[in-house]
Order: sequence, then C-alpha cells, then structure tokens
Amino acid sequence: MSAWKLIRTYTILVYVFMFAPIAVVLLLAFNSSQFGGFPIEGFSLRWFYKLAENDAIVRAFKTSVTLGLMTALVSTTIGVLASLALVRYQFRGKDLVTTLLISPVLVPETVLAVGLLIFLRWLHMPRSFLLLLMGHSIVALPFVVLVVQARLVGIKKEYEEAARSLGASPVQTFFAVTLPLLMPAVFAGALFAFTISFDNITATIFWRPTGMETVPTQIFGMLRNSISPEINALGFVMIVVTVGVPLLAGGLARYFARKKT
Amino acid sequence: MKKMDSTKRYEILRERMGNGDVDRRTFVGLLGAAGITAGVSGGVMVGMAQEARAAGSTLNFEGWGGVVSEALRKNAFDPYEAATGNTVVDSTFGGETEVLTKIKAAGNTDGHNILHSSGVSWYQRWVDAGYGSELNEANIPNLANVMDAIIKPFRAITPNSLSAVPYDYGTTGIAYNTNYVSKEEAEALGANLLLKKELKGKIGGWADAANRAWYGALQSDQDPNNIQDWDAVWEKAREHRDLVLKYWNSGAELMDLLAKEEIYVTEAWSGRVAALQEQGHPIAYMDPKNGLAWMESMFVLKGSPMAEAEELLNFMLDPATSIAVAEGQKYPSSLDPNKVAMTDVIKALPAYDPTGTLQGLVFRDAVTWNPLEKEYTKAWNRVAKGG
Repeated sequence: MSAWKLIRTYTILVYVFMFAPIAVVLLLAFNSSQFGGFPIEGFSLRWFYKLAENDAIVRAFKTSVTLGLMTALVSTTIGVLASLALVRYQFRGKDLVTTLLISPVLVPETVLAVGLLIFLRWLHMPRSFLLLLMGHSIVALPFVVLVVQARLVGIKKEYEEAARSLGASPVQTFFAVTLPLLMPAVFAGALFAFTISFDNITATIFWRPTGMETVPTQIFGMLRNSISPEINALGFVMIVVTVGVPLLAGGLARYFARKKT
Repeated sequence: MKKMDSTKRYEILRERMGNGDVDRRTFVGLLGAAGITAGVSGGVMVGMAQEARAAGSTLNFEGWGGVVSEALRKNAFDPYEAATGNTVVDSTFGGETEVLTKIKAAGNTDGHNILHSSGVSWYQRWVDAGYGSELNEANIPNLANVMDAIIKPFRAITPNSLSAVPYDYGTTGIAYNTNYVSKEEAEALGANLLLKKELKGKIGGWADAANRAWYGALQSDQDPNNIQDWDAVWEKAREHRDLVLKYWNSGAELMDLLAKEEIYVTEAWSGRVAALQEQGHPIAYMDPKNGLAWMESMFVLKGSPMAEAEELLNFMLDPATSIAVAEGQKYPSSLDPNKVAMTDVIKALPAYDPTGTLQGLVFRDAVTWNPLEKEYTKAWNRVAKGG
C-alpha cells in the first residue's frame, strides 16, 4: 500500500514539474507589475488590453491562426492519403517512403529550413506565404501520418471489402466507411498539425517573407532587445489556444460519441 | 518620379470620370478589364508583382522588435509613408546572422532592403560578403548633421561611398543595484566589479562571446582592440563564470533580472538601463575604462531601390525624427549635438556624448575582431560549458 502511495506522490510530483511553468505563465498574465515574478503584486487585466491594442500582435495572431488552419487542412489531406497507401497497399520501396514521410521529425529543423530555402533558390522562387504553408505542412505531416496510420491498422479491411461487395465504388467506400471510422485520428492529426504550426519558430524565421510575423516570431522579436510585458498575456492566449483547443475538441468528441450510443 | 500604385491609378481614373473626361461606359469597361486582368493573371503575377513592388515603392525594413520597432514605426515610417506614398514593410529579426543566412540560402537579397545593423563589425561583414550598396550622399542632406566621428569608421571600410548611415550608439557598460553596491566601490573596481567574490550568485553577464572576450580583456588589463594574452582573457571569463547566477541573452532577460533583484551587477546595454531608471528602479550605470561602445546603422543592401532608400534614410535622419526615435529606444542619436539641439531626455541617457566627438568611447575594431570570430566563439563555448 505504501508503495502505491509512493508511486502516486511521485506521479503527482512529475505532473507538477511538467505543468508548473505553464501555470506560472498563466498566473503572471494577470500580474499588474511589468516584471513577472512572485509574489504577484496585484490582479490586473491591463496586459490583455495592451495586447488587444497592439496591432502588430493582432496581425501576427491572425497570420498564425490562418497558417495553422491551412497547415492542418493540407497536411491532414496528404497525411490521410499517404497513410491509406502505406497501410492498405503493398508496393516496392514502401519502407523508404515511410522513412521519407517521417524524416522531417528526425532532421534538425534548422537544416530542414535552410534546405528548403536552397531548394527554392534552385526553383527561382521567392519566399512567400505559400512557402511558409508548404514548410509547415512538411513539418506537421509526420505527426498526421503516424496518428492516422496507427488508427488505420486497427480498422479491419473486411469493412471496406463488405462495402465493395455490396457495389460501392472505392471512392464511395472511402467516404462512407473508412473515413468515418478514421475520423478521430484525422481530427487528432489536424489538431496536432495546427498546434505544431502555431508554435513553430525555428523554421518560420527562415521561411517567412519579409514583413510577415507569426505569434512566436513576434514574441521573439519583442523580447530580443527590450521588455514587453504584454508578452505574459500573449503567453496566456498561446497556452489557451495550443492546450485548450485540443482539450475542448477532445471533450466535444467524447460528448458527441456518448450521445450517439 | 514616384511610382504610381494601382489604387492611385484607379483614383485618377475615377476623378477623370467625375470631370467628364471619361464616359461611364469606358470607365466601367476599364474597371472590368482591370478586374479580369487581375483575376486571370493573379496567381502567376502575384510573385512578380511583389518583386516589382520591391524594386519600386516598397521598402523592406528589418530591425529589432519591441520598443525599437514601435519607435521607428511611429516616428519614422508612418510619417514617411504619409509624405511620400511609398510603403515600408517592417519586420523584426533575432539578429543579422539570421538575415545573412536567408540571403545566402536564397542567393539574392530579394525582400531585404534596409537593416538596423549592429556596429562596424557587421558593416564590414555585409560589405565583404558583397551586399553593400553605394549611397548617393547628395540625396541624404541630413547626413551633414551626423557626427563625423561616428561616420569615420564606416568610411574607413568603404572610402568611396557609404552603404549605411550611422543612426544611434550606445555602450555595454556595467549596471549595478545601488542598494547593494556604492558608486564609489563601483568606480574603484571598474570591470572587476563583475569579479567581486562577495557578490557570488548575484552577478550576471551577457552570453555573447565577443562581449565575454572584451570584458575578459578589461579584467586582465589589456587593450581590448589589441589583445596579446588570450589565455588571460579566458581565465578571467572562467573566474566570472564561477560567480555568475545567469548569463542573459536578451534585453528582456537583462531587465527582468535587474528589476527583480535576482542579480545586483552585470554588464548591460545602456538603453535598457535607462528604461529601468525611468521606471524608478535603483539601478546605476557606469562605463568602465575602455568599456565597449557600439553604434548601429541603417544598412542598405545591394539591389534595393536606391532613390527611395536614400529618401527614407534622409527622413530618418531628420532631427525631429531621429530625436523621437532615440527617446523611444533610449539610445542617443548619431546626430552631432553641436549642430542639432538635443532634448533633455537625450542628454540624460547613459552613454550620451555631449562633445559629439565620441572620444571617450572605445569601439570594437572590426579589422582586428572579425577574423577572430570563429576562434573566440569556440573558446567561449568551451569556457561556458565548464572548460
């Protein structure tokens, strides 16, 4: 029994260690002092007001959300199709394709970023929003592929075969049988892609066209030379978006699943 | 002649129609044609149009974010855009290395025009890499108000023409908390205040390798622009490392550490200390003997639209603009105080030189330091990791 207690305490401590920094950022967003620190001097929403008034941050936020949503769309579409091919079909060089698809996670991001820039130079293409979208989709793709593949392996081929034997075309089978069964993984993959894009800074610095800022590059720029206390409030918003959205989505998914049964 | 953008062209067209010069049918027809052209060619043309704009009336500016960026946008770019109709696309960088990497990887300077460049070292680096432009000084009459002393090191690198105009300067001196360190003690110890054993755990330092080497030279009684004994430099860096609570990497971190009294002494950027003093923190600032001074310039990259860039630089060097930006970012302007009356705020800034000669300040000699960059960076990385 005492061993279980020990494990429980240990687990709680690990969670505290992991989440305390996040909790600190969340708390400090409401600190009235310019310099984040404890004890908190007073409760204030002034950094949130300042944040909303800062056009540069609002613009960066809009760019990040748009980019994140588009990355989710592109990488999920490609990722689902790639996973289908890899799980359902046998072809030569399959392992190589899998490795290639996963490689963006394995290659250091700076190398990937400069590599893509050099590739674009070869194509005579300037840096643009499209490049940024392409780049983010490459970075997010492995996560989508891994999540969707894992789910797809668990979906029996017999369901699809049954649909086909009843006269459904391959496309009809995909939309009526495979995709609905795959939906939780697709959704999870899309969320991963969104959050990865929303948080990315290293590669974004290299790929963004001049004049375009995402939230992380904006934060980096603001802190490099001087202090900007509205960053604490921005940190709050970032955490709410990157942690809150997936949690909310998961909660909603569970709610609807329960309602169905 | 200034380039006309599409909006202006449509406005003129509408005005002509209003005056009866163009009939309604032609007007609608032209608008329709413009719409079709935009729609059909949009996808292909967007990229080319961007390039065309970069070569015409759009200037891409990259610099520091936060207060610097806000000061420039408010006091320089917005009025410039209103006065000329040109556009300044400003964005932030984490440092010039980032921009140089991007330009080298892309193989051209597309999308990059003007940089808020750090010091003579970077001026030399950009010029050596072949990205220097040739400014026509006749188009920048306000350059006459800039201190001769601050232009001199740039001219030494490119004697025939400048690629940048010096814009501001500052020092990396020593900041100390007056509740724990007296002025007398600080001045007596100079750079060695950072090595005071009694302050162990309350000392900070800038993580920059060149800065560590500079202060190591000061602490080992060497001329930082003529270091003979590098071992002694790194020995002092080690001594400092063992007393340091934290090496900071950004202005935000520096201000945070000092304001919350996590550290009492550290090297510091003069402008950031000025910001802390303005907020009422008990932080004093001193430049030790041979303390590091630096200047920042507005560097125009090769391939930029020169006439527009020169116009912007002239605008930025206008006394009212330059002083407003200096007050915002808290670094003195490069304008000569003997020619331009400075405000009390500027006169009170740390590092401000009322003589306009900069003789009391020591700048990094790019010719000596640039070739050593790889070596001292490597050496410092070892020391930082405990070597």
